[in-house]
Amino acid sequence: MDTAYRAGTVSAQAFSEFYVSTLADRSAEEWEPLRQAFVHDVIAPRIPRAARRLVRSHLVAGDLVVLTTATNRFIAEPTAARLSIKNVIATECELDAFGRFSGRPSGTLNMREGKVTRLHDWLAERGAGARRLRQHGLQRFDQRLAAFCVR
Amino acid sequence: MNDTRYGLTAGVYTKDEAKARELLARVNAGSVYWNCCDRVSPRLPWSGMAIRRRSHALRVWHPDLHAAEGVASSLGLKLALFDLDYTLLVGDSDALWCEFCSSKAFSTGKNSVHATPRWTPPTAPAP
Repeated sequence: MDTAYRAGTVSAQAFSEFYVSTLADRSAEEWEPLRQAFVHDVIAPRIPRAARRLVRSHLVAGDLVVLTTATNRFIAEPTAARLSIKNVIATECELDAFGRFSGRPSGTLNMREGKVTRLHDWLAERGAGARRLRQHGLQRFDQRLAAFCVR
Repeated sequence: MNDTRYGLTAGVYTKDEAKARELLARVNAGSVYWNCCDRVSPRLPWSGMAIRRRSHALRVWHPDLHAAEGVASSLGLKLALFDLDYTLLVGDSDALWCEFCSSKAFSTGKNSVHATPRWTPPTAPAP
């Protein structure tokens, strides 16, 4: 899926729906043991020490640090927690009437143009101006976000 | 092109490779490019030629950041730019989650996940 998405053969919607669908039919509580194991076994060893230092330096400087990711919130939040980042903008997961994940994303997908929209909305909700933003992370070449940052 | 304080990089755009080589050979820059301008290779030394001439940086590429830091330290580098410096997480968390769940799907227990058709990547073409 990831390869197909990067090759441009899958839409952003299909890409997001595919990954969110992996959570379908279970509640957050039911997934929690597996999520904890995932974070412990897979995520934690993949966070470079440099990344921790980088985030810490921003926090110490009093910067507003936000993790914005196309990954769904359920998966992204523990990663952010490992980095001591409290603010997360992620793709949201729809819940069904029983509080289980429906397997569909909800709201504006936090990817491509949606990432700029969501960041804009998030800042507006907090009355925070985006005067000076610094972007770190995998998506160094996210041109839309970079364009937003330099406005 | 040579009237810069830093001499970091330069690039020329032309269909004529020989002309590009001739021109770039006269440019006093740490890295030069033909028909592109921003392709820094982690496998090459990366330095300027002017004001920072004596403070070369080495861009260290290694899949293991700790090993990369060790390489930089053993070389006595004061400044090393790691390929992963600005990477918060090595890998794609979505793909990692799928791999992790798949690896658990065949184990017993209540946390096994469905190996259903929904795991098959959709074939919808990009709009």
